Amino acid sequence: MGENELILSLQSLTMKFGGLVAVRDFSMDIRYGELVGLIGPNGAGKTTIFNMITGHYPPTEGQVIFAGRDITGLPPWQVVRLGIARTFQNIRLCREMTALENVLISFHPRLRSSVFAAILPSPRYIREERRMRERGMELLSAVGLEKWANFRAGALPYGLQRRVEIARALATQPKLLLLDEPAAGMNPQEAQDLMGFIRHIRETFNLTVFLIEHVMQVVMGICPRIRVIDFGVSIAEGTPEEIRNNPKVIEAYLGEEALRA
Amino acid sequence: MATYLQQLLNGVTLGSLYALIAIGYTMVYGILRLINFAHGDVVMWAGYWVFFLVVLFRLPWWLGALCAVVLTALMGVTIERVAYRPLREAPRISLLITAIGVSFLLENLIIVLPWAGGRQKSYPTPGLMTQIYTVGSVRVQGVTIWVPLIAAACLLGLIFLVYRTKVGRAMRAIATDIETTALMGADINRVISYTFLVGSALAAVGGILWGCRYPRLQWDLGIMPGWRAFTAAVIGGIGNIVGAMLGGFLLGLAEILIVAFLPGLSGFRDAFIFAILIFFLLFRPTGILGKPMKEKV
Amino acid sequence: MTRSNRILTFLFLLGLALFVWWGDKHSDQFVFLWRVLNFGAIYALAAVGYTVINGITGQFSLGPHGFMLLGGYLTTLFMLPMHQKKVVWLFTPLSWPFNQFTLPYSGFILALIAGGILAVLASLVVGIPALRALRGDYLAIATFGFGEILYVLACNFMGLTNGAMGVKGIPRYTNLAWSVGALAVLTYAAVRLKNSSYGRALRAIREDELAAESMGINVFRHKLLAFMFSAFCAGVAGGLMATLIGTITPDLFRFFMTFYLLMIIVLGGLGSISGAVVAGFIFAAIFEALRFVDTAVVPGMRMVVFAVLLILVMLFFRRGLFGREEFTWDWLWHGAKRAWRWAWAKMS
Repeated sequence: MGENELILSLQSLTMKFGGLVAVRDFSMDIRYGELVGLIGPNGAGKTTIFNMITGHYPPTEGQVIFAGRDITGLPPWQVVRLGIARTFQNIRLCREMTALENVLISFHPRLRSSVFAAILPSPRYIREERRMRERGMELLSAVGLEKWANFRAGALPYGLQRRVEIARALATQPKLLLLDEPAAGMNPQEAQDLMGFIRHIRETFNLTVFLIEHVMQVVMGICPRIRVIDFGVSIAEGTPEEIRNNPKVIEAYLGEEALRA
Repeated sequence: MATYLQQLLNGVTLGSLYALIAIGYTMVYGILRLINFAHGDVVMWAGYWVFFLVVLFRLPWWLGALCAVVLTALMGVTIERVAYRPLREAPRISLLITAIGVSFLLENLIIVLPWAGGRQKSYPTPGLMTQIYTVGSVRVQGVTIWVPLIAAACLLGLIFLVYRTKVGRAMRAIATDIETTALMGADINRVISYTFLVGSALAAVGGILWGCRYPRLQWDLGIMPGWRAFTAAVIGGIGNIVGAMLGGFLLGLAEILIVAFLPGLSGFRDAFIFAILIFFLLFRPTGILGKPMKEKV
Repeated sequence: MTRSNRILTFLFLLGLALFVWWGDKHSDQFVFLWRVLNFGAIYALAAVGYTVINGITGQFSLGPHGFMLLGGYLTTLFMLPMHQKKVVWLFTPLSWPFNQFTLPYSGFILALIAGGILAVLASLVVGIPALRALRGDYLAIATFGFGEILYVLACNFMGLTNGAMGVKGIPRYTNLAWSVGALAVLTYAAVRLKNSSYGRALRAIREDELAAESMGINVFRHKLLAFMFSAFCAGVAGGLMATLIGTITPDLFRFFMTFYLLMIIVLGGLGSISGAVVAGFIFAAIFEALRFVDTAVVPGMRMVVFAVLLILVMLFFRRGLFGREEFTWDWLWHGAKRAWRWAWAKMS
């Protein structure tokens, strides 16, 4: 296998906004099936790394290699089609649409019928639409949301919205799932439940998961490997145990505590 | 040589008019992110105020013009208060739709008013503006001298206001970040009212001088000058006051030169203006001076 | 759709067809009403297309008047009789190929479709750069500028348009069968589009463009699709309007036309196709009813009324008549039931 064991390889990614360097020389490899956490204080550049992977920001320097292919600078909609799906820190659902419709959006890029066929509608389109709805419901059941399928997404409670967003990402049939602070805004109990849920979908859908978290305790429980960044620079990597005792990490987080106090 | 100088002066005159009008677009856009569709019609109304006051009420010209500036400025503030402020929290497109409505209202009010109507009226131009001055071999009309001078005085006053006074500082702060400025205790509504007051007053000066230059009044008189001034604001980088002045002068000069030396194309003049506008929006949306902006993911 | 709803729809269409047939037959007895209904159908048709791009996709275009202009002129050039072409283009000769041929009445549908297709081509010219790079008010201004450029071109290309003097003597082929027929076909297409997987993608773009893109939607192509659909509707509407009025000038399709359409889709509820249709007819009725005010009482008053109406709707009634909902038989049932219950409770 060699090189092919890597699903994602980030090579010296740098992102500059004008004079500000948000991320500097960030490299990281992720193997198939891993569950990796990326942590760091607020404003450390975590989301920027995700945005460089998904094509929202083309990196100033460096490469993103996904499954052996250089995807640097591809637009987001192409990156998704290759098999990288993401969620957002501040949940970005189509709030006026139902939970099911939100999931169906992700199936749309693989629709084969033309617009004309959809307007008529042709028998093939009707079959495709029915099939999409079935699979959408299956997915919602898999994440325990089947009874909320026809509710307006914006009207659902926060925790369920997060699950809809994950279901929507899963509907793109990803190989790699990027979760941006999935537990943000949740209490410790909800966060624990969510982590169990993430482990569950990872096994069910045979995924590689790369997740950002701000609160260290949350990732410690489920990620065997954790990377820490601060001020756009990678400062540590290792098992939860190693991270917990790493002086640089403690300093970075203490600094933030000090700032907050 | 004399013709060149003559045309150059004409270009500067026109440019200073565009600059005066462009300020209103750029200030409002800088603060509310609204393309104030009705701004050109505010310019037109200034001309009509002079007409009403000087021709119908027989005020002396200078007093009529002064009152016209005040009335037009108040009009701008009222429009913001009544039609734009209630939509502060609404999607920005709702604001644009309302502005289009206000624009149509202002235009058609003129047609409806018995003293104005749909037909052309002639504008009362003071003698000072029509007088001919001879400098060497160059003969110039009063307007080509007075318009740039008055405009320059107004623009200098504006720069002083924006960069040297408390209100001006508040305006710039709001343009940078409206939420933070509100949090820091500035009275946003008052500053926005001031912005409309200043922008409309300058538009009024522009409209009054426009009348001196082209002394015919009609309901649609503000539309094309408005769009040219807006284009000027975009060229200079929308939201940027100095840029709007620069853009105004550039556009005025370019327009006069094209009309003077390529008269065959003058029928397509408006098409050129919009082509330039679209070109800038597509390829250089921040104008020649502006700074790039980026949406946060 | 349930069986009874299917029957209702069928009966409704049958009734509509009968009404149209009867209306066209007796058009000389109900001149005013016939005129209102024709204009209403044409406005509604353009508005349906307009709401697909503005309301459903959320991309604010201000250029439908330009697309109507293209459709109107092309249909005119196809349908104007040869002798009339000679009379109109007296000083500047009419350009090839339109000086060579003219279509008989049987070719009217081709002329309308050609007008729509020309508008679609124009929508590609403006849409490919503009929809890729611009959104919000900048997109609005770019499309507006495009419409104004078309107006200037129409005034100057004498060989095709006869300039500002316009073209007279266009055969008045448009009747209810054509206008309501085109409206019915394209409304069906718009409703199907909105409810299909493509429509979901369009609505997703309106709600959160970034999220839609992150789910693999090619945002640009879908915006272009909606824009092309709206241009087609506008082009056909322009052709119908020219052949309803019988004359065409560049001034017929200036920005006020877009203002009317904007009023219609705002009044109907941005994003509602049913709303666009209903408001289109309401607008035409008010517009024609106030015509006497404009000619006999105070010119311009009609537009003042409309401008004030638009502002008031935006300030106090932003949902419009339908919001983003659509008319369905079930919606009617529920509404009727609720009204009945309310009335019952009032009485007892």
